[in-house]
Formats: sequence, C-alpha cells, structure tokens
Amino acid sequence: MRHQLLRRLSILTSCLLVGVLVWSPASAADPPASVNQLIIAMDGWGSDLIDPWEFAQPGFIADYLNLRLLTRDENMKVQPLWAVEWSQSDQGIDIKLHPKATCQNGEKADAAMLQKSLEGSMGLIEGFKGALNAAKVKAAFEAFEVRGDHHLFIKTKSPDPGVVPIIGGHNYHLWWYGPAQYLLKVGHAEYVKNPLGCGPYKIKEYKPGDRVLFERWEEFWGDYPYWRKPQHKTMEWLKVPDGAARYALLRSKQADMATVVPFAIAKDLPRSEDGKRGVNPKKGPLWTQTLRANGKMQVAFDLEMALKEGKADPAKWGNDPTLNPKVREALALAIDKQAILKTGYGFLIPNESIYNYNSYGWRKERAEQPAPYDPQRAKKLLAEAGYPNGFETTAHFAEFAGRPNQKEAMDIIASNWKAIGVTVQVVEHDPFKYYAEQDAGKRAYLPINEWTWGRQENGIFIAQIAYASTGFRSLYNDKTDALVKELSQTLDEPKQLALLAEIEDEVLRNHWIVPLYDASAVYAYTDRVLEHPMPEFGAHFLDLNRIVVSGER
Amino acid sequence: MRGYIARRVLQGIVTIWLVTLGVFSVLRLTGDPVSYMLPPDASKEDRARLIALYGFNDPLWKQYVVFNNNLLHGRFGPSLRWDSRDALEVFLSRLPATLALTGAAMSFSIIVGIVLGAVAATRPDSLFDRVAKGAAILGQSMPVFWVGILLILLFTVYLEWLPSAGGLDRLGLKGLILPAFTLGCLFVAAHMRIVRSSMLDVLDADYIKMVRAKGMPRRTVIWKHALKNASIPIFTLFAVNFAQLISGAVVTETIFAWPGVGRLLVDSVFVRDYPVAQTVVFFAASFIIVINIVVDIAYAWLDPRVRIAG
Repeated sequence: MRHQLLRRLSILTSCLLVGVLVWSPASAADPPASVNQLIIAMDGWGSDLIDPWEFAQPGFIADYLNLRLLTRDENMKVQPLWAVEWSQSDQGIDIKLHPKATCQNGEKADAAMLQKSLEGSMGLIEGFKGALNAAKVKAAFEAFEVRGDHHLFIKTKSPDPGVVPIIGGHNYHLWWYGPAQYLLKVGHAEYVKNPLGCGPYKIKEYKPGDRVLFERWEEFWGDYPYWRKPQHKTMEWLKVPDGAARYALLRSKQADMATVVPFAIAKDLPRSEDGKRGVNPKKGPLWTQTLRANGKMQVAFDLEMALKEGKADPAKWGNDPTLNPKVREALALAIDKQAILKTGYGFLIPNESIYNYNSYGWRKERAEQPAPYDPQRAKKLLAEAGYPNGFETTAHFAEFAGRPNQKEAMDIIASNWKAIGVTVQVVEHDPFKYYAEQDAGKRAYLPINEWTWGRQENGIFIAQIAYASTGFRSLYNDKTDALVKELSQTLDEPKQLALLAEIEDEVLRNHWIVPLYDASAVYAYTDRVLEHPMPEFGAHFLDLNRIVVSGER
Repeated sequence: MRGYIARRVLQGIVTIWLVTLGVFSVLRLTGDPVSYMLPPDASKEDRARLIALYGFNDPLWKQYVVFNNNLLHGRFGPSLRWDSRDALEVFLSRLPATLALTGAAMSFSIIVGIVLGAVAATRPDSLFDRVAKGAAILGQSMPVFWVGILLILLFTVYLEWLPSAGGLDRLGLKGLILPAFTLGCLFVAAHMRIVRSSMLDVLDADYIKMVRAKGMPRRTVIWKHALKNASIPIFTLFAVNFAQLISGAVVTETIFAWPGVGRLLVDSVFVRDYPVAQTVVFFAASFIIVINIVVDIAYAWLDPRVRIAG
C-alpha cells in the first residue's frame, strides 16, 4: 500500500516537473532559436537606391541595411534606434547616439559619423547628390557641434518642428545613415557595387528591381526588443508584381509572407486582429495582418489656388462652378461614402479628417463623426448657387500602388453627382504623371482631383506641404498661410495641435477637401510564421526583421 | 551580292537610328524623370535641385546630341533608377535570364510544332490533324497571362510540383519549365501551321512520289527527305519568332517574376529610367534587325532572284 502510494506520488511529481518544464515559456526578451531562411514575396520595395547620400525616393532596402535615428514600436510609440535621446529647442536639435553602435566595416557610428552623414544627405559632399528633402533640411540647419563621442547638437535657424520627422525616420522613412568614412573612401559608384551599412543585415545578393538576399550581420549591436539580431540567417525578397502570383507563392509555401494581398483574396483569410494583432491565430494554413490606413484618399477642389498662382487661365476657368463654396459643399454632401467603403471589404477606414488616421494632429471626434450624406440639401445648395439643373465637369484621378479602390470610388462619386444633376467625366491618369504635370504648371487636372497621400505620422508635414503657399500641393488662403507659418515656428505641442486643428477647420470650412477614406494594406503569412509584431498604422515600418518562424523551411 | 548586303546593312543602321530617335522622343514627351523619382509630396526646391543635378533642364536638342555622342562611343549612360549603375551593365545582367527563357520556349515550340505539323501533314484532315490544329490554335488564342496563372494554379498551388517565381540562379532548371511552356504555347500554333503547309507542298512533289515509289520506308521519306526540303521557310519563321520572343517576354517575365530583359524594360519605362529603357530598346531593335538581315542575305544566297529584285 505504502509502496503503491510512493509510486503514485513519484509519478505525480514527475508529471508536474515535466509539466513545469514544458509550460515554462522562453522570456519575451529571449531571442528565438536561429533558423536559416525567410522568404518574402513583395509587390515592390519602393526605390532600388541604396546609397544613403543619394536617396531621391523612399525605399525599404535601406531600413535593413542602414540606420534610422528613430522608429515606432508595435504600439506606435516613438522609440530609439540609433538615437537614444533626442530633443528640439528654439536653438536646435540635440541627439545622443547609442554607444555600442558600429558599422559592418568596424567603423564607429558616432556623432562625427552622424554629422558627416547629415552633410552627405544634404548634398554638401562632392560626388554625392544628396537625399530627398535636402533643400528643406539645408534651409533649416545652421551649424553642427560635436559635444561628445555620441552627442551631436544641430543649431537650427528656426525651431521648425517639420525637420525632425524628416531626419528621424519615425514618421516616414526618408533619411538613412551609413558608414561615412567608407562612403567617402569608395565613392558612390563603388558603394553601390559593394554596399555595407550599420543595420541588422548585410546584402548578400542584390538584383535591382528583382531580388534582394539579405544576410544577418552576426555582430549586430542593436539590443532593443524591436531591433536586434534577427532570427533568420537570410531574408530573401522576391519582387512579384502580380497580386495573384504572390498569393500563389504563399499558398504553395514557396514564400513565408506576401505583401499587399488583393482585398478580394484577403477577405476570406483569417485575420490576426481577431485575436492578438500580428500573432498567428492558428485558424488555417494562412493568416493575415492588416496595416490600417496607410494611404489617404480625398477629393480636392484646387482651382481657386491654381488661379491664384497663375497656373490656370482665368478666361477659361474664372467662372467654373467649383469656385463657389456652396457648389463644393453640395458636391461633398452628395457623395455616399458608405457605398464607397463597401467596395473595400472592410479594409477601407472612414476618416473625416485631412490628416492620416490616428496621426499627430488627427482628431478622433472630427474624424469619426458620421459622414454627411444629403442629396436633397445638395440639390438645394446647387440651386442657391445658381445651378438648379446642375452642370458638366471633369474629375481626374490616378490609381497609386498600395492605395486601392480609387477607380471604384470615382465611379460611385460620378454616379452620386449624376443624381443631383452634375455630370462628371472621370479621367484616369498615369500615377507617375499625375502630380508632376499638375505641379509643373500644366494644371491638366482641373477642376476636381482625387488626391492621395502615403501615410504620414505627423500632420505638421501634411500642413506644411499642402496648406501653405510655400507648399507643394497648396490649398491655402491667407489664414492657413499664416497658421502654417506659426506652426512651423513652435515646439509647443498643445499649440501645434491647436494650430493643426485650426488649419483643418479652415480647409473643411472652405470645402476644398472632401475626405473619402484611408485605405489599408493586407499582409499574408503561411503557418510557419508565428508572429510579426509591427505598428498597426504606417506601412513604412514593415519590421521584417521581427518576424518569428517555427522551424526550417 | 556585296552591293545587296551593303544596302541591307545600311538600311538596318538607319532603322536602328530611327528606333532610338523614336524612343528618345517618346520617353521625353512623357515628362521629366525627376517627377517619377520623387514622391508626390516632395518640395518644389528639392524637385528643382534634382532636375538641375541630372541635367534635365538642358534643352531637348542638347540632350539628344549628348545621347547620340554617347551612343557612338558605346556609352549608354548611368541608370536613374538603379543607383547610377551603367545602363549597359544593368541590361547585360538581365540578358542571360531572357536568353534562357526564350531559348527554352523556342525549343519547346519548335519541337512540338515540327512534330505536330509533320504528322498532321502526313494525315491531312484526319482526327489527329484536326485535334492538333485545334490545340495549337487554342494555345495561340489564350492570353499569356491567363495561361501563366492557370499553370501556376495547377502545378504550383494544387499539385505543388513546380516553383513559380524566380530565375535560374534561384530555382535551377525546374524554374524554367512553367514560364517556358507558357511562352512557348504562343508559337506552337504558328510553327505547327508553317511546318504543316510546307510539308504538304513538299509531300506532293514529284521527287517524294519517286522516293515512295522506290519503296523507301515512310518514316525516312517524311523525316529525312520531306522535312529537310520543307525547312527553309520554317527556319525563317523560327528566326523571326525568336527575335520577337526576346523582346516580347514581358508578360511571362512579370507573372513568373523572371528576372529578364522584358521586366527590366517595363520597370524602366514606368519610372522613366531613360538610359536603361533606351539601352533595352536599342539592343532589342538591333537584334530583330540583324536577324532579319541575316535571313534576307540567306534568302539571297539561296535564291538569286531575290538579289536581282532587291
């Protein structure tokens, strides 16, 4: 009896011990066991440029090869990357760098390297063309002061809050930092043949526009949970432009992940958002994660500004109906946004703001108010404006990659406007020419344009380029001009937010913009992928280095 | 004969020059590449800065003179899209993949086309003839992208036999099967029909009747005597089709993510990478023109009436 009891007790103890060992999870901070391969089928990776001092276009390769100062974690919080501390005052920008940071050639990633890198990106170093936004940053910076091995102070001409979002990389990847001494030594031509950086990966093979094979840098210094040595030894990107072909690669398990899966396919796949975002819900062989609101769609009436800037002929356009705010309001009221949203299988997000959903300056109460839809009132307003029988006009749009359903939206808008007597001819354009021709002064797209923004996490950036006479897209009057000027000279956050709100109210009061929706992007995975933590918003932080898989391919 | 060759070569050079002029003009009509390089929200100042840096603010005639001068010296210029790599280097890096794909597709379509065409010609209006003609026409009628997607669905997704994305360097010969079959299907019909009609003409000739009357085995009559003599128009078509394939593999390369010249051309046109687009078109046009000249010269050599008329 005693013997039996002892035996049972020992079995129970063994079971408990085994149970504890099996149950005991690896700490969240522990890196997962190394695997050999990760393959990703991509619709594209933006620019194929890799020299950080000659970057005219954002691209994803540099996010893994080189450094950004800052990033965002999966909770959208701004987090350190190369910079561990940063602040901006009326005098300038103060940056303290990670003391362990080095580059793949052993070069120290210190304050001197940051200064040289900034100068390279600003186009101040001979032999290098400089990066995107070089002119804006050059206009803002006055001098550099190295205050320590890892401490750089940048004296600025004015406290412009729009500069840190450019050089930081936490709002939209625009600038990267590479090994300055190596770049200076080898020059541009040699660098692109033998690129090396300071990020978590080396480039093992690179066929521009076709395939990139990254190799993990075993000595990578990053020690953040969101930026450390990746689990996989190699990460391969295949450019597969066709959505169905990408999906086929995933289905046949030739790839572990596919970017931008067409909505019509994605709607039937399990979504991780139904459980824990970015974690395999284990509901089948494939699963998805949605990057919400990474492209913004809106209708813009920009004839008033084109006339003001002398880009439109007053004889031809001086009496256009869209110059009347009542007409613009009527056109806005006639759009059935719910019908447009239905075309996106739940991947289009209503947003009544001029700023990106959940970005800095975006107001929940403003953005989530019900979209006004009142064709009767629209008709009344048209009559009051002197167009009781409507009128004929033309609307223009271009379908941008990763920002779907624009054509469907324009078709619905045309049909809505037809119902109030406004006949609109919809003209589709080559997306690459769309803005270029408009801004070259040709203004081919009068009087109604469909606009789109890539996601920007900072409304200040949008306000500066869109709602000021010095901006690029330029919908402005004297009031918004003054507000943007004030915004560009203050670091007081409550004041910034108040100014952003005031700019938005003025834009919407004038009915220059009809916000339509924010479009999402869906990424799909095979069941080999256990988790892929990344921010809910912002397609520019793919964080592919954070993908965790189970076992080998 | 020498005069004929010199004339054809001169015509070829003029044609190539006209093609380059056309590409130069058409690409520039679509706007400056800086507009395509920069994101929509780039500032006016940065746009102006890059236009000046790349020299796109020079008058068009000046850009054209520079372009011709560079061409004469064998310089195709730095790519705008791919980190200033030499456009010729970019083109040459993609050429082997396209040659492999078109070579395999051509071999497939020639072998199948010859076998089907020759057998069909020996049994005109038989069930085999009708089925072969039907199948070949079906292959030619189906759009390449559709055939490609169906093949991926069957062989990659359902059966999991064959891979569907990447080039030879990544997948080896296995990766060549689906794209080559997709592309080859297009030309099976054309090859089968030319073989069939040439063979029908030859099979009706007196010397074939004579050979048959002498009791030579049917297989020898068809494959040795008839096919050999029917081959001149067949090989002309093969050569011209091969040249077309080289420049026409765009859709297949896109569906199967094949890293060839076709995709390179599409990508470079989309982003207005002038130097690369011009290089690809220059070599594709040159290839087609050279093949045509060689075929014309071969004809003239075989048939003296051609050079008299020429």
